[in-house]
Amino acid sequence: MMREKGLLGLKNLTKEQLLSIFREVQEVESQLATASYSNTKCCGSRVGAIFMEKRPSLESLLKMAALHLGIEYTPLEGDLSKSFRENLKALHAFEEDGPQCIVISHNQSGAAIYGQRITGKPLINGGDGYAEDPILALSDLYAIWKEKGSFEGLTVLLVGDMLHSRLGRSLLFALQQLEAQVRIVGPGTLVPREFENMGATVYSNMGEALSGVDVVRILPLTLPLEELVRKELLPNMREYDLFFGLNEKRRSYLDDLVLVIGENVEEGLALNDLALVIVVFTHVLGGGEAREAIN
Amino acid sequence: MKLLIKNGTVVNPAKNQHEKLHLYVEDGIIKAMTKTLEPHMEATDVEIYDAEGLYVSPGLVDMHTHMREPGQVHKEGFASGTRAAAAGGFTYIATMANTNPVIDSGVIVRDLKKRIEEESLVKIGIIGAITKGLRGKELSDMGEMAQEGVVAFSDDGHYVDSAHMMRRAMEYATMLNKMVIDHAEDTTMTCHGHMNEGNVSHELGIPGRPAVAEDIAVARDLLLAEKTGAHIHIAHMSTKAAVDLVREAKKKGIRATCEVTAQHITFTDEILKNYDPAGKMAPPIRSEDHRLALLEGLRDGTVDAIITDHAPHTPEEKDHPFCCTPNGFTGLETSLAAVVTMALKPGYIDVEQLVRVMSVNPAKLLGIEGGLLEVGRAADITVFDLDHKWVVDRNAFYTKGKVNPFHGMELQGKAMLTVVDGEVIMKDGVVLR
Repeated sequence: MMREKGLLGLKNLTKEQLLSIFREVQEVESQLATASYSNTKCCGSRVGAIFMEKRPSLESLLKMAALHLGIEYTPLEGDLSKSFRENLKALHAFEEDGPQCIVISHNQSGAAIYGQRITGKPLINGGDGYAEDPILALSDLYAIWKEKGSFEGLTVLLVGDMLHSRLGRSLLFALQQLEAQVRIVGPGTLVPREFENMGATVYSNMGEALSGVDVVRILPLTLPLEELVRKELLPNMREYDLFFGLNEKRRSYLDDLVLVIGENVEEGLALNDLALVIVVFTHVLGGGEAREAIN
Repeated sequence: MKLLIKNGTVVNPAKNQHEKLHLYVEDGIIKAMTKTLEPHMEATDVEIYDAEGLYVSPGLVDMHTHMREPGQVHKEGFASGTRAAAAGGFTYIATMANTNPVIDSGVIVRDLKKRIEEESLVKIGIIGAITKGLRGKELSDMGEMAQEGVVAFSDDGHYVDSAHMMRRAMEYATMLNKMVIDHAEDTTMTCHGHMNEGNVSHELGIPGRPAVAEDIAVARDLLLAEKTGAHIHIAHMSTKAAVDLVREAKKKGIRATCEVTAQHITFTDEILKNYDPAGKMAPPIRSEDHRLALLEGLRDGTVDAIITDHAPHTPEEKDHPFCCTPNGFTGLETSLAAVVTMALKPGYIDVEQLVRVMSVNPAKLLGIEGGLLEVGRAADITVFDLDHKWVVDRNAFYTKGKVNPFHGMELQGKAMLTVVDGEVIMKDGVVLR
């Protein structure tokens, strides 16, 4: 499914494709302890990565996954004084014997589609601007799937700065495909009503939004506080916490079975996400299903 | 130099003419518009163009282009830009002041007139800046520029943020008997935006420029026009509420006119879903309800003119992720076809109204000779085919700006002959000089 263009986002993945990824991740995860990875179908493949925006945890995961699969992996820190095209050139992305697949992270929305369009090679989006963050979203979705078993009938609440959240967008697109109900809560400045037209239900009251939910995803505040204030999006963090913080009182109303994700402000990918990156690499590089690729 | 355009259907709304006539031109002047041919019209020294099945109109006038001179000839220039104009059927274009340096003094206008004389294939009017350097702080040398012949004033590309400054500009321009062309978008609401704010921008994660920013700006400047008695012309109007505001202003007798681009009546923001910056412009291409409102404005006559907002950029400048690319794209070579395809064929306008909004009205608004076929007048003529279907190929453009959202689209309608001062400068799609 990702052979041609890679993983640009979750917008165009079907329910079946998403569920198939989760099943594969589960199998790979269980194999990780015992399998040997020296002779995979991806062995010798070339992957290049360009980080126009720093993502340390993703960088580590990519490196580890490449090691496991025997991939020749070339990461490059982006040179912000140069254009994205020039950075891709530095990665030899336009050369036939350059990387077969490119991973990018970028602060501009649409950079992944742009990079794929100009290189013509499959691309894995490690987050672009406010557009999409498919790997981080898949990590969340996998956690929900493992915990809940299914998405149908689930009510998932996204809390916070949806306007500037690429993670929020990727989650919204995928959760719709997976037939979950999506709620979004946050100040009107960060959660425009137009998200209703994308199938979500928008709330401005945290108590109402929390009522009856199965999963809560606290979205990271993408912009620094001073920028949020300068752009007249928030007066201060106190008010944000007051109205939208998941404090003790609000938490006490939640059912014990409610899964809360993202409370740790440090955004990061846990080690068990290694299986997810292995699955994505395997699909993009044409190694078939990951469980078969790993000997 | 003698020219006969025979057998064409003349559409000349200023004289209520819609009939089959032969046009005979000598020394750049229309000498005859007749139903019957006289022998001297077909003499051997006469160039003859058979316009059977085609329409013959006063030369098309585009009152809003960016020729990028002075200072940005890597994007366009009078030579390349006017060849594109000729290819699109335009005999007259007006060029905006957002150049480098900005056209904000009489000296710059004088220099430009020389360049135009040397380089241009079609006639060009110069639009002077409202404020020095387009900075919105001080009035430009409007009087000196008027003396040098500018046709209007505009800070196009920039909104005049200060209501006080806009009021003074309107008062001063009125003294000079010139209109103020208003790029109406409240900058405080649009400065971070890159496309229409709405469902698509939220889906893409692209910061938006809301329609209400344009509505507020239009409302303010209509009120200022009412107070000052100035002629305000709303540039590239793109929202439903702005159309309503101008419609009401006209009813109240405010000297308000407006223009829309061919691209705003063709596309919606859905074309940006692949993050392709080819369709990025300001004001942005909006949603379907706005597009339809613009077409209704054309139908009921609220919209006075269709423009191209021909705004070329180099392919390199457009070769970045969406938000890092400049606003604007070319339109001179696609505008007529887009209007035929999107407004005339679906029945919003007829061919008379097409000629009104693409020739008669803009000529009148700019105060230039044009928009009229009449014996004794300069022979600025466009011959066009309403049925000709073609696929837009940006590589065949005469303009330097090859990035264009019309590329690959099938359109209907094409200019077949462009005549300036009696000289054929484009024939059957080929520019002759």
